[in-house]
Amino acid sequence: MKTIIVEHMGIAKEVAINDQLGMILEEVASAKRGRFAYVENHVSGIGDPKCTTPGVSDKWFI
Amino acid sequence: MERVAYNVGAMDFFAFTNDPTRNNYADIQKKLSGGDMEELFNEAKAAILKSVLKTQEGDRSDGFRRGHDACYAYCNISGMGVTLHLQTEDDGTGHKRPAGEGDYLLADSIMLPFFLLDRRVHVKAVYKPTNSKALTLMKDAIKEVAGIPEWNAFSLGKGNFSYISLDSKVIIGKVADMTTARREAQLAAFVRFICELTTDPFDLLVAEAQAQVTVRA
Repeated sequence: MKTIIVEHMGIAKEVAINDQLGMILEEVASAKRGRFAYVENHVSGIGDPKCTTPGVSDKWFI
Repeated sequence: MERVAYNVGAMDFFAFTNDPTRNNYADIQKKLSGGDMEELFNEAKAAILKSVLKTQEGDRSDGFRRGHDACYAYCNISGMGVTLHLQTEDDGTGHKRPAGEGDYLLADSIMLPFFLLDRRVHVKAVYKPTNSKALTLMKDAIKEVAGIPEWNAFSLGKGNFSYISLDSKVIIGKVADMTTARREAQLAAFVRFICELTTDPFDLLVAEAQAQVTVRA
């Protein structure tokens, strides 16, 4: 588990982040401007009380 | 803030039309049952602008924005603003507050401010039907045409994806099939080509979005 410094309600705080997400942030930090991302089987709708069946899709981003 | 300014600018392009081939008001008309559609359009447009301007002015006084501020944190990664959604728990009054371990807050998911280029849907999400008022439906219709939802960040959390690559470099997982791998490589090459044409791809996207808005208006 890594920690990073964030701004929370105007105050600097430390947040613990799991290894997978920490790895993504590291790669984002080292990527050039004009970065391109591809995410497979991205699940959306989880946690939304109105969602009865979460959606699954592959997405391309810049 | 650039994006907020863009949203305000884009909204100025929109004007009411009664032409059913150029608007998406059919469902709203049923709800309104004889009311004035143009009046509703103007009310909805004013409400969206008021909300965008409130964000631009940094006014965080209402309950929705205060709750949002409590459950999200922000950091700067190489000049890019990244939002973290924090793990939350009920504070006993029905409100969510960030959960923590010792001195740490805990991140639940990260939200990257990338622009959605394309998507391939495997399972369409199903939501409970909502009985929205005519004003809400009109606001949604305007936002849909304005492309405002497209500016939303995408959220990565625990196990809500199986594979991610950045600039064609695999970070997590294994791509499912070679067709997808080829398509990914083609799109990455296209993005690199665009980046050679402009110093800032975001400017290019704004120009493209504005062109679309002009065509639709």
